[in-house]
Amino acid sequence: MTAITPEITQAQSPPPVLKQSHRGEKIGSAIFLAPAVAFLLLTSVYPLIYSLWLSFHSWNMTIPNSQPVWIGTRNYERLWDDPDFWNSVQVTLIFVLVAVTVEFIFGMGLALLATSRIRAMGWIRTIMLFPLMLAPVVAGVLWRTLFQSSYGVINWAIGLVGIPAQEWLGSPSQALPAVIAVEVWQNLPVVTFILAAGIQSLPLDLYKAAQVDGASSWQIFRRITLPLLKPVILVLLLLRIMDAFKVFDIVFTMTYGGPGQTTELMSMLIYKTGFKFFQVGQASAMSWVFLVAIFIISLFFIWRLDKE
Amino acid sequence: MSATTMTPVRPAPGTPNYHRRKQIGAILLYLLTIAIMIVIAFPMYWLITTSFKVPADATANPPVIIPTRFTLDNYVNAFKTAGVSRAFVNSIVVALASTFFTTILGSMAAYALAKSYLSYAIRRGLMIWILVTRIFPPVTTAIPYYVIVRNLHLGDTHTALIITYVAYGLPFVIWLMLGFFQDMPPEIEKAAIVDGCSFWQRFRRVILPLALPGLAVTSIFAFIYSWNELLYASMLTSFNAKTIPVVVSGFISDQFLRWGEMTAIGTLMVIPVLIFAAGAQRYLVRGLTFGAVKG
Amino acid sequence: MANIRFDRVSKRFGNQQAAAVHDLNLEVHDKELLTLVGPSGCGKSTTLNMLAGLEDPSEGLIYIDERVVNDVPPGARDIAMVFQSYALYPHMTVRQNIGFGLEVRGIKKTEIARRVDEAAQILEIEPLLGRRPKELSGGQRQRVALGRAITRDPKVFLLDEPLSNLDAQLRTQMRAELRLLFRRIEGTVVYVTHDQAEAMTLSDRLVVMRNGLVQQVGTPLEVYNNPVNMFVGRFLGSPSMNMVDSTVASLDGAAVLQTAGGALPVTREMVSGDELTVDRPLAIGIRPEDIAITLGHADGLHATIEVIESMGAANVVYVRLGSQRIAVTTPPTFQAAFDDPVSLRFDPAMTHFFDPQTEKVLAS
Repeated sequence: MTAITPEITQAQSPPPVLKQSHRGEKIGSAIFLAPAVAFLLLTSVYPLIYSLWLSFHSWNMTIPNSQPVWIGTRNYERLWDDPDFWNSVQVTLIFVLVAVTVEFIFGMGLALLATSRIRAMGWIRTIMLFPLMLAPVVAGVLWRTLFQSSYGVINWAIGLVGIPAQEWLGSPSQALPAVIAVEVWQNLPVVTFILAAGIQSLPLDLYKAAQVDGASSWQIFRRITLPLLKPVILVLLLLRIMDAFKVFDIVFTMTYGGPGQTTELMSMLIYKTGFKFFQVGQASAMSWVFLVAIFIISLFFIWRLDKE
Repeated sequence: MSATTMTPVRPAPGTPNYHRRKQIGAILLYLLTIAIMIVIAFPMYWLITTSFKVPADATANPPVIIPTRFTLDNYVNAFKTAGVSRAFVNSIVVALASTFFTTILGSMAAYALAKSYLSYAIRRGLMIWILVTRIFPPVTTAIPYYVIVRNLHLGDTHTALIITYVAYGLPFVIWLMLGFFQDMPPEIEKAAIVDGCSFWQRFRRVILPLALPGLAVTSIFAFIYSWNELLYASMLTSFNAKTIPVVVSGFISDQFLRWGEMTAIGTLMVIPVLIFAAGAQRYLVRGLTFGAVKG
Repeated sequence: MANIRFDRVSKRFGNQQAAAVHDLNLEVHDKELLTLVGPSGCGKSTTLNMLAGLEDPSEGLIYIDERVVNDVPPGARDIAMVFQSYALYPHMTVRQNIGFGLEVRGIKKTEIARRVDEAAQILEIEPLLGRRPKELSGGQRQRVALGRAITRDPKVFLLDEPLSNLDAQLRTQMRAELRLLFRRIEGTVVYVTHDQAEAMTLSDRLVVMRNGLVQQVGTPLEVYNNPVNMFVGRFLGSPSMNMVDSTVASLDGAAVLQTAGGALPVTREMVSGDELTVDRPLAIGIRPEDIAITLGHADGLHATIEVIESMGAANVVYVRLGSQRIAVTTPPTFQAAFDDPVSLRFDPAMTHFFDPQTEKVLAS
């Protein structure tokens, strides 16, 4: 047999492709997907649309047999002039920004520590699991006792170093920092674990090369660790910010939004408006404003992530 | 400017000064770390010790940091309180059932999404939608849920809570399982195809057994979510289906009088989480980041 | 009995312009071991996947035994496949792995056990039947993957780079064993590799592919000795074929090619006169073992020594010819120093001429 070269057939056009043999696969995929999709449509899309509908209505659920009344955009207009709403916007933004920033700074420090010198990584890891294992509701109630002004452990501890007892959760200026502190306490491990995992996944050779080049620890962190960690940091910030916006349990148990309205996060305000004052339409309007705002913020992060 | 051209400001290695500064720095670092670790660990320590303290020690001033007297009364009293044992049963039923359904529905959906038999547009659209549902704060759908559950006469039932938790757990399970399925070497599945397995056989006989660790981890996260959830539980239940988080949150109005019982219940609440967390440690970061960081 | 035919098969991925496989026409004979060889991205694995049914051709028909199988799912094509990573099911024992394909097909347990034992005996892995894949060495996994294939007794065996995860020594050993195994069970085999040595030693016939196009089909020696273009010439053999730049200098009597190292006379037997015109550039293809080297400037092309690599049984001498580097295989006794002048003489029967533009071989 002699060797043949490829350029032989031209004249006839190639035969048409037969029907693909993947019908079964397609049907299987659809059957596997259908229940979850149907369930999500019913349980997350429908409620959202229903909530949008409610936001254009006025309805007090507590009055028996009452029906929602169409009032157009009045609920939204009212929000604009509502000082409680704007107070809540402010409290929420401060809460999220401060909490996530502090978590990030401390978490980065601990992650660097845990991945470098400290031999006791196993211990640090175990200890840091504690806050994660406590249900937020338990954490809130527990910290409430720790912050207790007359016999709380915190006032006792600062008394040891000569600082006078503080009001904490009873004080309009200290309540929000206290709540933020608990949020930081509970989520610092999350940030630390994620950053530590990110750092450990970086190529070790780069660090050796940088050390051989004579870079200082700070230079290595600034010029190598931080840039390489950027995708992880963005994911982390996105998740942390989204979750900080969701915080409810801690405030609900520690302060219920008080004293006054100094710790009234948006989730707390919506809860109160809907389930304490039963202004369902108003609460729905707040929910939608809240949703859209969060959506825009996360889009920004997702867009940044996509660029990476 | 490259890192190499910078002149180091610290003392050169080899000088005595260099070593002393390094040592002092290390000691300070250790002390700081220990201090932070004490703050992080203390609440858990306080929760558990307080649950075994006698009433006088529990609210003593100055506080009793290291208790010397122990009692089980707090646990006994907690269970004597009306509704507490029922709440535990409710929590267990709701958490197990919602975990079961979330894991099954979620991993099936994730498997279908991980395969390329559906068009890319459909899969990408679904994934983005699922991600978006994860972003929404639960409180924003609290009101419609409340109204819908009331209209369906499902208020204060396990069913209502289970449905809610499956809805909130599904996006999480789908994303996490998607990651596990995509991590699987594609050749294994090809081998199964060539061996003649149908779609279902492949999932049942090859993929699912391989994904078992992932499945276990995912269901642990789903369980912990349902177990700890407060907002919907407090909203959708009042008596019959009341769960433990609602009971715990109820203690705040009682102030200091029942700290012992509160801490006892809190301690019991941690136990299943503790057991599961030990199992999921390896995949902790993955779970915490919604599968984004594989840790 | 198994005959495979590709009829004008093409494969395009997504909306990519370039085809992964372009207009493939190929026949695989019964009981032959056919190798698809080429650099990565040449379309060999895509071809194999299409034959397995793991990918759908964009155009064209695939026949197994004169039956069009485009529409037949992989499980029903009666093929078995061995993957580069072996793709053993980690949660099953070796016995279960080998028997799984039979089990899925609903074959009786006793029959499965018998056939698994038989395969295990052929491959000498009987003691491993109770173990799981992670308890096996690379070579043992390889055997299990083979066992999984042969126990099915399929019409066609498809092997996708089955040896490339093994270390060099084991690879050579398994190469010989594979050859024996398939001769013994008289299987029709389509074998994909990027390793030209594997293709040369294993195949009844080989198919050299590049950029989705078949370059040449033939027995290993045919293709080695008569490459149809510069790519095939360079791809097979190690060190690969030298390509010496030259131009046609004169056509008085015998043609003379001018190279950087001097003139090379060419007879009519070596290249057809129709191809030769004055000033036409030509690439002279010559394998390292077909060059005779002598120290000092004598007859032949003049070059200087660059490096001598001693391989034990032979030396590979790299010499500089103008701006080109030429490899020459010599006996181990050949010694020289850097920059020493040498003369090269090409074996006329083994010299190939290519058009540097089209890269095709010139007719002789």
